Order: sequence, then C-alpha cells, then structure tokens
Amino acid sequence: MTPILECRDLCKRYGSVQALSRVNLIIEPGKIVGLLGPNGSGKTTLIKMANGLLTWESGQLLIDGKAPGAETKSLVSYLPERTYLANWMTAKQTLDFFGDFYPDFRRDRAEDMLARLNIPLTLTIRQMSKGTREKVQLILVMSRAAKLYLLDEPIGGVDPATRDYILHTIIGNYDPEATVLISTHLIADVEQILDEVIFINQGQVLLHQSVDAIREEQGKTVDQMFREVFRC
Amino acid sequence: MEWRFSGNAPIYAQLVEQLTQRIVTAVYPPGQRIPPVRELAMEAGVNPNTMQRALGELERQGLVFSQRTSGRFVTEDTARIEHAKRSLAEERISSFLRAMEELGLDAEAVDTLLREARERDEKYDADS
Amino acid sequence: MLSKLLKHEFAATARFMWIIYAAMAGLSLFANLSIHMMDRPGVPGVIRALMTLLLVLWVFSLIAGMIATVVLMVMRFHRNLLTDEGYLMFTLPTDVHRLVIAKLLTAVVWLVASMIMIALCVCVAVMSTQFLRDGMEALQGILKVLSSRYAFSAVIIFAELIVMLFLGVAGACLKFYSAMSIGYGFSGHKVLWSVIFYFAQSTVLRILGTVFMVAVANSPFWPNYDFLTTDGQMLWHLGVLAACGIELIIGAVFYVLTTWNLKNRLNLS
Repeated sequence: MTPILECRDLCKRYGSVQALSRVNLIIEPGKIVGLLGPNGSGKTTLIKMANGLLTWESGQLLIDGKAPGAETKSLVSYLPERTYLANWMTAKQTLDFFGDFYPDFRRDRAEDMLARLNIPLTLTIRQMSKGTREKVQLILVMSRAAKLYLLDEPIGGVDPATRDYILHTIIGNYDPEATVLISTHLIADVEQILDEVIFINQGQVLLHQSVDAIREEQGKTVDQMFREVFRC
Repeated sequence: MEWRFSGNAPIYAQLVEQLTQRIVTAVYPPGQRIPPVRELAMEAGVNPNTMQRALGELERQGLVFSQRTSGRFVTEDTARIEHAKRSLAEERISSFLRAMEELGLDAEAVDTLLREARERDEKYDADS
Repeated sequence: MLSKLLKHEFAATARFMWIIYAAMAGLSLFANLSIHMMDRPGVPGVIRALMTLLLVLWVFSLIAGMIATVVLMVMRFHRNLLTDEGYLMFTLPTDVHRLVIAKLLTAVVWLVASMIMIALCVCVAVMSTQFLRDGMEALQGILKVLSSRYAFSAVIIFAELIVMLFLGVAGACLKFYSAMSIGYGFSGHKVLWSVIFYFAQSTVLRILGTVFMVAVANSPFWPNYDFLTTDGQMLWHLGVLAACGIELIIGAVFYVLTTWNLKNRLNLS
C-alpha cells in the first residue's frame, strides 16, 4: 500500500536556520499519528510543505505517492493554527465555499455538527468567539472525506470542554482509509487517541513508534517519555 | 460506568480489562449486542484502532463473538464469563497481595487487617 | 475551477463595490438637482453656495470612487492571498495561475466598470431635456460617420482603444500584484519591500521605455519607411497594435513575476 505521506532526506532552510534536516518518514494510511515536538522543532514547516505551501531545497515529499500539487490538495484536508476563513462570511457561506471547491465535502454532516453546537448559520466569522471559530473550522475540515487530515495544533489554546469536543470529533470521523496527523505539544491530552507518535526536534525525526509499543517497552506514557527526551 | 486509563500499561490492554469488567458485571449481559467500535471508541475517548484491537482480543478469548452483518455480541456461555470473572478477581488479588508485601506486611498481618476491615464494614452497614 | 474562483471573487468584492456605486449614483442625482436649481433665477445666495458645495463634493466622489476601486482591488489581493486567508486559498485544489487570474479578471472588470460608472454619473448629473436633445444629435452624427466609408475603420479604432484600455488596466493591476508578491516573499518588513519594489518596477519600466524610444527613434527603420505615401490610418493601427503588444509583454512579465514569487517564495505566517 502506498504510504499516505513519505519524506526522503527532506531538507529545508530558512536563511541560516536549518528547519528540517534529512527527514525520513513513512506514514501508512489508516492511522492517527501524533507529530510531537517543542515549538520551533519543524512540525509546522513539515505540515506546510505537505500542503504545498512551502518549497524545499533537497529531498522528496510525497503525498499518496505524488508531489504536492493541485491533485494532492484535493486529498488533503488542512486545519491550520489560525483562522483562515474570511471574517465577513457567515457559517452558511463557509459551507457553500467548501461545498463548491471540495467534491468530498459532506455538507449534511457539517450542518448536523453545527446544529448540535447551536451555531446559527447566519452568524458571521467576525461575530463568533474564538472558540466557536475554531470549532467551525474543525467541523469544515473534518467534514471532508479526505485521505489525509493535517491538524496543526488543534487543541492549543482552547478550554478543556472544547478540547474534548475536538478529540471526540476526530475519533468520530475516523475512517480506516484515512490518516490523521496531529501536530501538538500537548501530549497527555491526545495520547489516548493516537496510534503512533513521531518525535521531532530541531528539524530531525528522533522517533517514530506506536503508542502501545512505547508503553510496553518503556513502561511509561508517551507524555512521560517526551518529557525525558526533550528535557531542557 | 466510567472509562479510566492509567499511564503505564498499553491502552489496548486496559481496554481489554475494562471491557471484561463490563461483561462479568453484566453491564453488557450475556447475548447482548455490544455497541459498534466507533461508538465505544468515542465513549472511551480512544483510537478506534485500539478499541478494535481490544475487541479482537476479547473475541480470541471467547468472551465476545461477531456475526458478520449484525455486529458483536457477548457470549452466552455463562461458564466462560464466570471463568473470566474469577481470572479478573485473581489478578486483582495478586496485585493487592504484592502491594501488601511491599508494605512489609506478612500473611497473618494481612488476614488480621482484612478481618478488621470486614467487621468495620458490617458495623457501618448495620448502623446506617 | 476558475469559474468557481471568479464567482467567489465577485461575491467578495461586490459587497463593498455596490456601496461605492450607490454613493456615486446618489450624489449624481443630487448634483443634477443642484444644477437645475442653479439654473433657476431668484435662488438665494445661501442655497447657491450649498449647491456649489454639493457639486464640488460630487466631483470629489467620482474621483474618490475611482481611487477607492483601485485601493480595494489591491487590498483584496493582499488580504485574500497574503494574510491568513492565504492558508485557505493556497490549499484549494487548484494552481497559482487560476488564483491570480481570478483576481486579475475581477479587478479589471471592476476598474472598467468604475470608469463607465463615472461616465454614467456625469450623464446623470448633467441630464436635462436640452442635454437629451444635444445627446441625440451627437449620437446621430456618430452613426452617420459609422455608416460612411470610414465606418469599418472607426469601429476598428474603437475596438483597438478598448483593447488598449483593458490591457492597460490589467497591466496596472499586475504591477501591484507583482510588487506585493515579491515583497511578501521576504521574512521581514514585507510592506516596505512591496513599496520599494513597486517603485523599483516603475523606475525600471521608465528607463526601459526611454531606452526603447531612443532606440526606435534612432533606428534605421524610419528613414526607409516612406511616410508620404503611407495611409495615415495604417500608421495609427500599427502604432496602437505596437502599443498593445508592448503592454501585453510587460503584463506577461509582471504576471510571471507574481506567480513565480507566490509559488516559490511565499511563506505565510
């Protein structure tokens, strides 16, 4: 089976900083994977590159066996850290937008989730609170039937109830043929839903293992192991 | 009934234990249909793959069986369920005894403490 | 895909363009009223002053409307592609070219529409029965010219001018887009770099333009070209076509600069 995401000796530099150095990675379909590392470790750079938002100097990055481009973008559903929806749009208009541009968008599912959260369709992004905005974006992104979901820090900066909602939405949306890559530094909260974790620091992949294997072999949680590995 | 996870054991192993508990305490009675994987995973807040693995283990142990179109069911074999209950109890007793050993208590001391605890409990029940 | 992008672009820009046009139209109606008031004898001085003020305001509104359109088109490009919204746009299943073309086409349409709007507003402001009569006469005169033996040429000249207008407007947009795309490829002081590159671009164009003019004027081409026997119109057509060609090439250069920079140097954040 073609890996959904593959990196071969991937290198990326910003000026004098080596953001990624010789990253080698293979992520198989059907997993929920955690991309764990401190701020500035290269997580966001890697995700941007997988989205076709950044170019790189050497090495290869393949999404479902292809280089990032218009075709892979239709397979990838991206949730960035920021609000990327236009302020002036209403919830309904965002549904229209996603429905227009993404054939895999499941509008009924999105409408259902919005209704259950009591978010009126006539509310504009500008009028929404930060938490609501993030939930709307999550709903839009997860309502696509994509092959690869790239979630960049989805639970940072939200209250515990919202965090639970987000994690439950990710589980509930699970499709054995899809892959979810969650980049975060809040490991304890997501550990339970992850199949595998990737530790990344200073642009290098330190580890890529299943959560259960870490717990069996190390006798500790991934969170504990992370603290050890990344001790300051 | 809550799902509780501790850090050190693999999640799927903990799921196996907690699912077994539900079966032996008849939260999932014999012959009853178990909720689908995704629902259980959402309820427990875990990865569906992990839940699937745990259910697979239960199937292997014969506590649960799946019918292709109808889903997963608890076994009707009450003997097997009893056996599982006994195994679970034995495991917990072993843990308990190990913990007492770590406190430096010998068998006699443990028996005394157990007797006193039971008497206290009975007195409490009688009073209330 | 392009049609979807265009639809979205128009929806996003129409929501403020209609306000500008409504204001321009409204003020033009008032202008019309005040002109008629002024024509009437025995109107008190205060009213006259107010009406004059209104007319001045009206003229400003037309100029402001045009400037506002330009500013809004530039800001639209910036906001939608170079700020957080870019995260959404550049991850759509399409390429940079379609994204830029959608913006360019929409901007050109609005800019030309604004020009037409100004013309219409002037008509509305000066509209009166006399104007209508004069207008009808002028129109008849034009039609006569068109149906005469110059007809074919007149239409062609008109068409050429329209093409030049569109190319010019598109070129202006692309110059802005290019400067912003280059400027936002830098990690710091993005706005400053954009402004610097805008002026740098203009300067380079001016220099190249002057060099070109001098080269053409001094080229051996002219002496051999017998102007005395050449049809004046032929010269005009050649000139316009050459201008269009140059405008097209310049536009293409800025288009390539825009798309290349957006594709390779942009780092949103």
